[in-house]
Amino acid sequence: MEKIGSFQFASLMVLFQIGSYVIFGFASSAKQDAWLVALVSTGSGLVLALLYTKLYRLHPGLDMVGVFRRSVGALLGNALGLCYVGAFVYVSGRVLRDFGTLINTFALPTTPLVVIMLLLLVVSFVGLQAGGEVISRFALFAWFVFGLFVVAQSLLLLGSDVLDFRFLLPVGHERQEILKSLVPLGITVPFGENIAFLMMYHQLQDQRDLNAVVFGSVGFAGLLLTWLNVLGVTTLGPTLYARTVYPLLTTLQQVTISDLVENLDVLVVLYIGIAAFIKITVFLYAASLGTASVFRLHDYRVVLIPLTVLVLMLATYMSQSVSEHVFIGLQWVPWVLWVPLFILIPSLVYIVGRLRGGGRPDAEETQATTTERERA
Amino acid sequence: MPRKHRRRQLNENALNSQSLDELKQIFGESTDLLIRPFPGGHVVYLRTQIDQVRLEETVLERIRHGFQLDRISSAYVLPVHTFAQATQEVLDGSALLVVDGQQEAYAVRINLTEHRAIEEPSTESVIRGPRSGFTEELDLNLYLVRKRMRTPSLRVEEQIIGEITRTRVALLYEEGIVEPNLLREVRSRLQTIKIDGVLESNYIEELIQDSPFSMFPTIQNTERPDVVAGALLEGRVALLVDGTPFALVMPLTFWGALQASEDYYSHYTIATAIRWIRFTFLFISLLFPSIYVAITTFHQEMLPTNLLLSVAAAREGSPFPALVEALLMEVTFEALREAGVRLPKPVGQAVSIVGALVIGQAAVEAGIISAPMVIVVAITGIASFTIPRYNFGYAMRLLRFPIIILAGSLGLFGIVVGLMLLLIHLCGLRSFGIPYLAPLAPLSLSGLKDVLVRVPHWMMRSRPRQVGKRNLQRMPAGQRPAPPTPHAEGGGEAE
Repeated sequence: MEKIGSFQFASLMVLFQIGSYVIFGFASSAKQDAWLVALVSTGSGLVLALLYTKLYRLHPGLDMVGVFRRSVGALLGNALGLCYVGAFVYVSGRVLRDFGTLINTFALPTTPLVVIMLLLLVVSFVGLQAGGEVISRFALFAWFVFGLFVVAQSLLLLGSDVLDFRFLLPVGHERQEILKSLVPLGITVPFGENIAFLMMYHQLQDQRDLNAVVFGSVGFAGLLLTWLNVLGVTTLGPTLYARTVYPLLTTLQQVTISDLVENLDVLVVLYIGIAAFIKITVFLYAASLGTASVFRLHDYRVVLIPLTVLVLMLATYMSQSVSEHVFIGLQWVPWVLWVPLFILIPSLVYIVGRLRGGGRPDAEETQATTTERERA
Repeated sequence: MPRKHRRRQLNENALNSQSLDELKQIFGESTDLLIRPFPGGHVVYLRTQIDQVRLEETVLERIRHGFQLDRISSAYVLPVHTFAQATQEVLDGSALLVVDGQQEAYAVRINLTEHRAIEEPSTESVIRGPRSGFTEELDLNLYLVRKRMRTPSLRVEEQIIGEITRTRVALLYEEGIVEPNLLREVRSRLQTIKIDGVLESNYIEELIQDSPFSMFPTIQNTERPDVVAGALLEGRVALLVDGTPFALVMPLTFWGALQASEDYYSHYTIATAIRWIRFTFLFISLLFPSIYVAITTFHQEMLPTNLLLSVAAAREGSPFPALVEALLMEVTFEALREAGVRLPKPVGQAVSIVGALVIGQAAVEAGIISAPMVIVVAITGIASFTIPRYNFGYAMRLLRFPIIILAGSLGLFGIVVGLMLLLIHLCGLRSFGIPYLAPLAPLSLSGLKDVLVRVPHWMMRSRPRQVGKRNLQRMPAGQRPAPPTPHAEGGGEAE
């Protein structure tokens, strides 16, 4: 089994959580209070992270499907596992479609959508073929690039003299709107999506670092989201920020430094490419690990090709237009998929697993043997 | 060489005239094999391999009146029992003394020691630093390394690789620093080599490297003995191959490929700054033409208006799309570069004139190629020379082309896809078990002191963790120079 170092795991998680923002923004419908929503949902994200790590600690050393099997029985556990696999594949396809649409709109209007999506998926496939360890190293490297971009973006916007911090006032004026963007979307995306990492917790090389890695990355990602939201609102103003489909892109379009540096929106391709890649890859990785675990396969790479093709098909035939795509993503998916899968089922499984005696102190000692039994 | 002779004893039943015949047969009556009688026996040697003067002085002169072992004045006298040993000794430049009536023969090593002078290596020249480079002679190269590391713990393990060339290959390591796993791995990989001949160290390199299909070198080659010594001090392992001045050093990481020996011989601030220039120009050499193609083809709005106007005006006359233009020019540049290496020296100047005038000026004036493209190609060419390891530069030169094609068909998105694939490849590479991008990914904070910067020597207190973790300490703490201030010194004198 592949082992992932703490730094790599953390950077994978941070990039994964920032990934959604980069395309569609985060809680931009809350206008100037988007940063407030980001902060609050970071809090709820920490609670969810606590739930997921608790769930993992019921039977440490196992992946998500293994934990489910041990907590609620083999049959139900496997069935739940398949549900999650399906969801991960679907979300992976969604992100791919999001990305493809964005590139198609801004950078390559004449290139067929499917070509763009196929290319990114090929990168994902090659990465996963190389293994989770390689992906996590990639994430660490990409994080340096990403961090550089965030700093550069902040500095360039400051230098362009377009920021107006009065846009942030009044704080918390539309409670209704804040609540609407918080429930269910703010609390499930991106922090609820972290459940995909439950498939990988057991791959963390130094298990003692688990809490630090998980909570640290959730907190850090939350703060970063808050800052990016502040930056977006102060650049665009609350109304425009709420109305634009791609807030980050629109924000970066405002950069103008003495007629020399302008129209940087294409550079966002790099930004978004990395983020979307990490997101798609993690979901695809989680899905293939889950499939391998349900069907007791030794290597997840066996199911990689069918799952990749499935993701591409889903992404292509998911919706007819951007509006339909966004509508489904904002109105249906959170209630139908995310609330049950990210909150309800994990809580139930945790309660049942707790009642059935998981998470006892001796469970950790027998970790190695249980892993072997699970594999056998 | 007929194999049946190999194991047979020499002088079986003391029938020496017969064994001389057999020796002659083994060499197939080669014209440079001479068998010369002396009182009480025969001396067998290859005329081309030995020093005739020394043969006369140290051997023939001494045994003029009959063979006596203790009269031979040579440091290397070896009793020989089998045909295999005997032939090898003769090939290595020994005179073989076959004495009548004795069970064993004696090999006296009086080989020719012709070699070129120790010169400054042309591939890794420095402004400050030692000027000596390896030569083609293994023993001389070993001398150059040993001279720099005068310790008995420098170990040399020699073996012979190549069925026909029987090339000597020496494995060098510093006992007490080197990681035993690494050493075992190198040894076992060397042992699996079965090849007819080794003419250059690249034969060995390609047979023992980790990812045979990767363009990136995972083994470093160097002409400099000081680089080898530095690597041994870090706990790495070196291979010297007879017949080539290029030694192999392993393992090699991505960052190691971007370090030059002069980084350690010049002031650390300069060395750090130059390292960053190298990082920057590494990207330029890989990406500059592709970015130019992507921007002029897909994302013209990224250029400031004035620049866009001048680029557009310059490109107006050119009949080709930017992609074709870039590929044409890059290929031409690579061809010029290759021609510059291959051409006989006196013609070299002609090539540079043709290159500069025809490709540079005339092509632009004739309206075939746009002027910005020439600038782009020129900068890219210069950038690729900043990479200190030549074979690492190859990878960048070659990868430029697929990325140009991606950029020409998909714009910046294509470049991003290409870069991500490249990065995934690099993340997955290993060199003798060490991740290629270490210590950056996976991250090891202490390793960064010799990657992103070059810290002063008094701060470089530990060896790189990946190769030197067995004996991490390089020097004790508190080595930072702190000369007494003039004031304190004055006070001391007054007392």
